[in-house]
Amino acid sequence: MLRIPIRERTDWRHTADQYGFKFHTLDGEPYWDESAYYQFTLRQIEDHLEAPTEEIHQMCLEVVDRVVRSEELLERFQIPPLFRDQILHSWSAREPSLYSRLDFAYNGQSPAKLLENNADTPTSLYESAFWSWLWLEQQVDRGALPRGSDQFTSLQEKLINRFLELKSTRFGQTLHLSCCKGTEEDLGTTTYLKDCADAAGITTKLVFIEDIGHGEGDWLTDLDDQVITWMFKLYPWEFMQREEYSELISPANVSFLEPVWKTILSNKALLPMLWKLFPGHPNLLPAYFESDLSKATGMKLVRKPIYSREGANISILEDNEVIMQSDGPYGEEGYIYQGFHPLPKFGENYTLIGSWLVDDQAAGISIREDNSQITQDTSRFLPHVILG
Amino acid sequence: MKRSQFIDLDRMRKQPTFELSKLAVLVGGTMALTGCGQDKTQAEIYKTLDACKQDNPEHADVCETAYKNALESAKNTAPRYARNRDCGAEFGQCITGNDERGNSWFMPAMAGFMIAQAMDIGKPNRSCGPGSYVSYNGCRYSQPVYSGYGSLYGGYYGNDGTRYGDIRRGNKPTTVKVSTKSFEPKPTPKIAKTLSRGGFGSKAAAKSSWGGGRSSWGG
Repeated sequence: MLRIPIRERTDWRHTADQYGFKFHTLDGEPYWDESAYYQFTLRQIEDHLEAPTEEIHQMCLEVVDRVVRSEELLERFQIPPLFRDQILHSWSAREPSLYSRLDFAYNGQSPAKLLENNADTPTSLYESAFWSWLWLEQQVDRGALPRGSDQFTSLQEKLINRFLELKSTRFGQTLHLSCCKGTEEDLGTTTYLKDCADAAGITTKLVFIEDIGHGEGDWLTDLDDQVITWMFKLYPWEFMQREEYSELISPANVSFLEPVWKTILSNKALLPMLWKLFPGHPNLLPAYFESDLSKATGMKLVRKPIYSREGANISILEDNEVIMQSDGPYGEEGYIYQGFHPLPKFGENYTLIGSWLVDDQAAGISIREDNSQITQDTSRFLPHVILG
Repeated sequence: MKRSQFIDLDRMRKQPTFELSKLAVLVGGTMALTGCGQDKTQAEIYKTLDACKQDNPEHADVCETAYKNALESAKNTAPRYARNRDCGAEFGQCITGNDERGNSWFMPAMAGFMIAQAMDIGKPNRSCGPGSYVSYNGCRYSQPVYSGYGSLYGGYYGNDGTRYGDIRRGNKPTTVKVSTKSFEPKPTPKIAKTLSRGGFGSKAAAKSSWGGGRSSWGG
């Protein structure tokens, strides 16, 4: 695993305009950064990332299977009572999922360590699935990278195939795709998934989360009063379950992507549960609920809110002292503790690997760099290649 | 190769220069479930009203009611597509539909209708269940079927994509075993008067007042 500087494509901003990639620069700071790339060997990709990703996903499903049957665990996961039955039914029916992203600390050698699972609303999808892919194609075509260069990005192919599968169970239905207003990045991810669904021949429609209506007869409706029956939402389940329309979710009978059982996976309480079920697994870091903290005496720890997004409200603790923290609006549902594991540092950059799944298949990786040990939504996205 | 072998760049461009390419459609067309505990009944699929009457010369009225019922039901329950070619790829022949609000869509033309004897045959006729109607010998159900195209060719399909059986030559009906559940009216209306909006999004709004510079609600 190497970080190798490379000349930027001189025309990449123009190309970004052509393809509608609008959030490559955020608040004047670069987000897409092609001044360097990371190089992996095929063995690193397949043995160190791809295989553990699929294995951990199965382990996570094992956690879901335990949690949905236990009132005590559902309580620990801070699942609102109204949704406990819905989650159980959704899981028992194995409601289909679309995609997720596992985040790893990985330096090319030691086993990749799972930091968290973005199972409900993963972003940076467009950059990973399409934009990085295009970068590789062009850099190889232009002779800037060797012919034999490959990349672990089969996301687009797998997403379209997944939509084809899903379509066969939802004949002739419209898939609504939804995200919040006012975020170019979320709209980018949502529009990208719409493109994939369109490519699979699904009838699609965008609706903003804030525009969703309560239809007579307890349905959810779009701005044309069309009843929503099937919806992709880039909006956290834990928000929806605590908002005015939360009681409508059950009667409205919408088939959601991601399904409601993913509330269990996008929850940081997953981490201590994984450690309980699979203690010592090489790809896991020790993790504890607040009540089990005595087991972690003397350890350097990371405190994470049960529900949080994009690296907000994370603290790094040493001897019970906070030595570093990020602020944010989360934490009201409590915290979990995870053994501290440093992110590898390449130059001045701390590097985080995102490993994608489409349903239960590993489908690619993405790389984020930050100047801090805590990767936030201000971090940069870099491309990668597989060579050798 | 660990990356997507092919990505249709014309489709990905946000200023499309020409018509997007058509993608092969892969639909399972699941066979009607035969799980335990489901009420199964025999049903006949007729291509036309005349075919039904030929087969039931004594009961032309049953055929007429079933046919009208199916035609009416198709208006509301047929799968809808925004693009004619997406509909055509699955059903071949498609027609336009529209509602009083000015929405329009494409949907398959009805290729036949299915009549089934309800399980509650012994009950008094007036208690026929939802979606069924009274006939000379008990309750009957009827519903529209569509003929598949492309990879679905040769089969009869229901509103939800269930494959019921093969299309036969001539006017003889196709006899199939179906679950009576498949005849129950689908309760989801396509359009509902919206009573309020804005019941989702408050958590994001509350949290975005913090910091201000948020770019995403994902992660």
